[in-house]
Amino acid sequence: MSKSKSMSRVGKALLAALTTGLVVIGGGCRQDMHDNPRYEAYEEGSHRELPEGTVARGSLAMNPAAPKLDSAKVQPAATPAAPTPAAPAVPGATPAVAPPATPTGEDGFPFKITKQILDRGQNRFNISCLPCHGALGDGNGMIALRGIRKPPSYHDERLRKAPTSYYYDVITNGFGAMSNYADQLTPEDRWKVIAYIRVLQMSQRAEGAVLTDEDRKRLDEAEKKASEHGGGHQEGMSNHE
Amino acid sequence: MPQLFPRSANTLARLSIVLGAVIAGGVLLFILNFNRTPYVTQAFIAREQPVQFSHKHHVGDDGIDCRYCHTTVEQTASAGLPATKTCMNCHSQLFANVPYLEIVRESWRSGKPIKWTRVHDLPDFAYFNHSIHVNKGVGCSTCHGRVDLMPLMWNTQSLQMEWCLSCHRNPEPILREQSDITKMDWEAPADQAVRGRELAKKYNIQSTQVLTSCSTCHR
Ligand code: HEC
Ligand code: HEC
Ligand code: HEC
Ligand code: HEC
Ligand code: HEC
Ligand code: HEC
Repeated sequence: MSKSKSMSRVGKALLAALTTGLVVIGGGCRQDMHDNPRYEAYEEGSHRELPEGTVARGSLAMNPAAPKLDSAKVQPAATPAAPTPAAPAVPGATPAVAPPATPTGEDGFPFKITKQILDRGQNRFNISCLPCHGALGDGNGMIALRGIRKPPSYHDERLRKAPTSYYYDVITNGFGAMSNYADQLTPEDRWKVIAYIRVLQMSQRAEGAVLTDEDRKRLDEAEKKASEHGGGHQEGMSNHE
Repeated sequence: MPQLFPRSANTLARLSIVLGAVIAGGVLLFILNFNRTPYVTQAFIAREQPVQFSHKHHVGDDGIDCRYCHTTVEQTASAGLPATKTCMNCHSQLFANVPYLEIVRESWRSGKPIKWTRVHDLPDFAYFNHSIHVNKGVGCSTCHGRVDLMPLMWNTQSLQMEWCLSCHRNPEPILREQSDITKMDWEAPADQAVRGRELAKKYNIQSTQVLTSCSTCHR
């Protein structure tokens, strides 16, 4: 009887020591839980290179250099079915000029051009190209004004005549002083940006006579606003006066 | 035997019970509030970076959109930090020889990424995803503050669970249009009460139960 009683006292002491130990160890575990042995973005070791000879999923189908691009599926640059694109220089204004007839083939798009596609194109253009090429594509972007080589205007005769595949090539592989934008734009978005560049080119050549009164009023307002702001960046950007 | 304690000891004993409770409460309050101070959460404390990269110059002065550099913020959990090549798009020509960009050029030559100091870093047991927030009308400045005014990056929130929950209980007051997501000076318009409700419907915002259930963020 007395023997088992003394044993239980030892047991109690052991239990107390064990509990204290667990509490101390448990308290120290906190940071391990904060940093699990699981890879998260930007943790040491989570970086992986693309294995040689592989292509990211989805990036081949839209590439004109890809062997299997079905030229029959390539849409002409501006099909009659395409809704008239909004003139971007004056948000909301619709150029009433008929889109120039363009040949199919190397000067086409891999999908039909819709308003949604042009909106996405405008959005991506303003993110990726506007800093240098400017909101109108005239080469007067903020960064160009800060001293890099001035990009040519998209409204130059040479670039207006250049086929869409040429633009795709410039975005994908770069050109001269401009580095490529293959990492920053998916192949699909590249085509959408090009579609928007075509809209920009068209908008700058719309003849005044074909504009409706409402459009012309908008144009005047936009011009006034642009001259007040020094014509720098336009809507859709993080603007700070 | 004479009494050891005078009568007043009774009052002292009662007082010490009250005092003990007050002190214990005070310590608890102190700990709770201390854990919310910037000393612990590191909020509002600018971090030194290997390169003195300034969001104030690039975003505020030059008007570059967040997504030019943080390209994956709309598609994936992580917003993505720019590759060295992204810097070289401009800095192969701009300030191409200045010493303070040597680390960028060295990284470009060697192919080793620049090691930025992390500013926001949730513990691994919490799950966060940028794309859902950005696509459902929660703008960058709601969580990251006026990045366009920061010469060096700091976080403007505690990043504690109570912060996530305070918004998840009712996100309507901060919801904005998709086109304003990266706008830094966005402020809720006067009719936000109406707009917020409309936007919540448009974005199909889920119920409070779902958004505050533990498994939404601890999965
Ligand atoms: C960092 C500044 C910068 C950005 C951003 C930029 N470009 Fe350029 N771009 C240039 C410069 C500089 C040139 C002139 C290159 C030269 O002549 O060496 C140029 C030239 C061009 C040309 C004309 C090539 C020719 O034949 O003359 C096209 C087309 C073009 N860019 C398209 C784009 C598109 C599309 C985007 C957005 C995805 C874009 N650029 C983004 C700087 C930029
Ligand atoms: C020219 C490229 C560039 C642009 C544009 C840019 N950032 Fe960054 N951003 C960086 C770099 C590089 C870092 C890492 C260095 C640092 O933390 O300052 C960074 C870091 C950050 C971080 C902190 C990351 C961390 O470690 O937790 C946040 C938040 C952030 N940026 C938000 C924004 C927002 C919001 C915008 C748009 C208003 C923006 N950035 C625009 C390049 C850019
Ligand atoms: C789209 C063009 C562009 C990109 C991309 C870009 N920069 Fe810059 N950077 C500039 C310009 C323009 C300035 C001059 C800023 C000013 O004075 O307003 C500048 C200035 C700087 C400076 C000088 C200090 C300062 O803020 O004035 C540093 C350092 C710098 N950039 C680092 C970086 C790093 C690192 C990256 C890549 C994450 C990067 N830049 C990407 C255009 C760019
Ligand atoms: C709902 C709040 C919230 C919004 C909205 C938000 N962020 Fe974040 N951001 C966070 C949190 C939280 C982290 C830390 C994530 C982590 O540690 O896993 C973070 C981290 C980052 C980082 C560091 C890299 C990373 O992904 O971990 C960058 C860069 C960043 N944010 C940029 C942006 C930009 C740009 C936008 C707007 C387009 C934005 N964030 C919108 C909360 C937000
Ligand atoms: C300013 C408001 C705001 C803050 C702060 C915020 N969230 Fe959210 N969160 C939202 C909104 C709005 C949604 C979209 C809800 C929906 O899909 O219906 C969302 C959705 C989510 C989802 C996806 C839910 C699902 O299963 O579809 C996760 C995960 C999440 N948030 C985690 C976090 C975490 C972690 C934090 C804190 C670091 C946080 N959020 C902070 C507003 C916020
Ligand atoms: C909106 C997202 C969200 C929801 C919902 C959420 N949590 Fe959290 N939780 C977090 C974040 C983020 C952290 C990390 C906070 C930090 O780093 O301080 C966290 C931390 C914790 C911690 C650790 C605290 C610490 O100090 O380390 C516990 C425990 C926890 N959560 C339990 C829960 C429980 C239980 C629920 C359900 C009732 C829940 N959480 C719901 C986002 C969430």
